[in-house]
Amino acid sequence: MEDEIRTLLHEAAPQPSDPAAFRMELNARLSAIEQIKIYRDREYHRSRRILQIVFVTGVLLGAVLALLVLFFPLDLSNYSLFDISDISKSNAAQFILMSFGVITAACAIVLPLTLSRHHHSRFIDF
Amino acid sequence: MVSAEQEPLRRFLLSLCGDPAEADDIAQDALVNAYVASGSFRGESRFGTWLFRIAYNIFIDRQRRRKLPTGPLEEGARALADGDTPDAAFRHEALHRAIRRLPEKERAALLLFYMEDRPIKEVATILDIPASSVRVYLSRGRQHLKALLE
Repeated sequence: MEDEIRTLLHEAAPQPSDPAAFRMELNARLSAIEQIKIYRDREYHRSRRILQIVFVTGVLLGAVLALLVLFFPLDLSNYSLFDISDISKSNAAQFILMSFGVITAACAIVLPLTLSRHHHSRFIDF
Repeated sequence: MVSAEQEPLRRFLLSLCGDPAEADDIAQDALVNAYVASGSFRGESRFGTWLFRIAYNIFIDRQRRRKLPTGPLEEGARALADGDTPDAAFRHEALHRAIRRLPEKERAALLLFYMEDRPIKEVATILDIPASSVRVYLSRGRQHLKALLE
């Protein structure tokens, strides 16, 4: 009986139509995927470069601002953290510079890390 | 590898779901998925077995989602027997109609084992069931098919 079923099914095996058209459609789909892959890789490398530039610029800017503050030290003895009304005019500029330097350097480190994580999750992993 | 498996895959899917357009769509999806996931192919089974498994999973998934019995029986069976001589076409139409009346697992097991000549171990891998279950499905399928053809 087994041989009978085998012969019967072999004889009745359907012939898929137009293999060339099937292959053509498949190739079109595969090349579309390739295009997406190329686009994804290009975007990935572009974003990586931008993040690296942001990182280096931020660190450099932070360092320059920190050096500026170091060369022109701020006298912190006369004011508290919550009351900056007594900062003299000369110290105010340095205070702003120092704060800006710290914030820039922090952003330069935190932002690329956060963005790169987000960037990885945005793309389909082929 | 893909070219070698393309024809058997389309034939199997065509017999399994009876609708040429649907079968080709599943085959396309399976080949694309295999291409995309080729990095995760660990070589534990033959490439063809892996590809058939992907295709069978897509077929099951589509059936569950759409809940359609893949087209009218008569029409599907006639389409599959198309191109045969009138006498053969009549016999083959009856056979395809009977095959499509079989429960899904029995149908898939019969087609893979008898039509595609896949060993039981491969059939088990494709259907994701133990080899002993494949033997049970084959035995039941033979009985059901015999009863339907008589």
